[in-house]
Amino acid sequence: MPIRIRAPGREPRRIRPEDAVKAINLVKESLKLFTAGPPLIHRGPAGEVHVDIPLIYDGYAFDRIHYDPYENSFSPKGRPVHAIGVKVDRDQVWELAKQYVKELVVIEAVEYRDPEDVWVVPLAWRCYIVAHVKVSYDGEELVPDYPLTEEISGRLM
Amino acid sequence: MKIISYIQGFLVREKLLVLLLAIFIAFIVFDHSLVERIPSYVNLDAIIVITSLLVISRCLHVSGLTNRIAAKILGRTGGSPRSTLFYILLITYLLAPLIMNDGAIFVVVPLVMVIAELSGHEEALLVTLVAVSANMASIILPIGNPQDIVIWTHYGIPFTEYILASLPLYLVSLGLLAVYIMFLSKKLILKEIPVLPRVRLDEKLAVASLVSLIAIIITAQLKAPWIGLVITIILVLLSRPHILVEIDYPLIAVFILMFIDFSEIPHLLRIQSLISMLSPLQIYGLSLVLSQGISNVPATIALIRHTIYWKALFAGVNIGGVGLLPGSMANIIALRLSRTSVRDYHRYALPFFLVMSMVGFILVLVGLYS
Repeated sequence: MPIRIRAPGREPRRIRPEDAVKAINLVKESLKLFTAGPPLIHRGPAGEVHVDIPLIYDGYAFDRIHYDPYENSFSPKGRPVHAIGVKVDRDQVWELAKQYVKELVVIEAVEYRDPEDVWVVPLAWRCYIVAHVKVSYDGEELVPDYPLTEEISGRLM
Repeated sequence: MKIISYIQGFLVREKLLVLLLAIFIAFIVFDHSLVERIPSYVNLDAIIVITSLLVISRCLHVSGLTNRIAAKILGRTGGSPRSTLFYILLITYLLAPLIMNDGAIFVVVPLVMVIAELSGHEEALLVTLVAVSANMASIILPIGNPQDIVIWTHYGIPFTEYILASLPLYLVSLGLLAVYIMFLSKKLILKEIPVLPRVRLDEKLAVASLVSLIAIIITAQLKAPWIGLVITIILVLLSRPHILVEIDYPLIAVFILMFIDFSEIPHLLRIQSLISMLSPLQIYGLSLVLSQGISNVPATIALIRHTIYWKALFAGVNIGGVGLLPGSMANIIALRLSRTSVRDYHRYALPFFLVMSMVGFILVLVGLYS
């Protein structure tokens, strides 16, 4: 989805801490409903492999989590792993990812992205921040990552 | 190098397209005259309707409307395991005719996987029930699944006549599924009903999608489905243009190649006149069996040009979709989305399929589908 740019001349939204708390609570309540989608395995020209795990709820994807094939673990956000000489078993990765998603916890602090008019709630796995979930400005609705949603549905056909 | 890597990735991802393309090339090499028959094989109206619906089913999902419907319905379960199953069935039965059977699978299977995990329901049971429900529910509207779009456009069946014809099979399948669920739910214990969080609703897109859906049906009925496609494209361009980029275009190529390959097979085997001599009951049986091996859309394409008994074909391919796993693409998607094994899928789907096949047999025999 193209980033929604605030209309020219529109005043920046007046944000309220209570809405931020609502956004955090919404993600906390929703977290048990999130699961790992099918691994997105990209193979590079030199034989390197890069694996991302989509975080999904109700057929919508919310973020991609980097997977480290060397360590068989999630990798922190901002650190995609391009592994060479490692065999990646899609089903095995998916099973592990499903287990790891159950271990995700919500970090109780948010960012606000004015152009998109959303709160961004970080999710941590063990000591890493691995994903973000976007919530509408009023803390009432989850906002999916639409291009990723389309990517995973396309790959399943 | 990047292009080679992209091509490699594409070939791995689009196995079905590659297979159909290979068959097409083999057929062309075997018989050059196939080129002349291609225009008569490809049902362009069906391709246009399928393309329009691929766009609209994406739009309805992306708009958040399907999530709203599911959240609303599931909020009414009242905590009983039996009613949870009934409501899941209801969600699937409402969504499948509108966003096609595959689309409903994408929406409902992730939902039932979560419910299974939280509640202690057996996931394989829920996923199988969703797959079966999506296939059977999608038959009520001619836009519910690809094989029915092909039948509807090929025979030029009036919309109301189609619905009247599909109604008995639809109602019987719904009733049988309800009984099956009552039987299966006896052993289930539900611990918790999750409250579904809402996904942002794009009202503009939801309205545009519903308007397009109506336009697609009307224009297809008027034998001008391209007008429906143009209306759809304009409305999507005005609301969320990026959706047009994200459509699964290789799938459209898959359908075109299916039309060519599976129309050519009866020609190569010289069995067209044999098929045309088959009775409604034989068409029903053949389409039912054929669907188990080559899936119901190719089975429809292989038979449709050689039989006048569209109702028997309709019953055979639609019931055929809920049998063995390859019967319908929706089944394969459901299993790929979940952890359900092929064995578990068959454990729950085959008893329903066997009963439904017998019911279909009786309905054809009494003349409702002949």
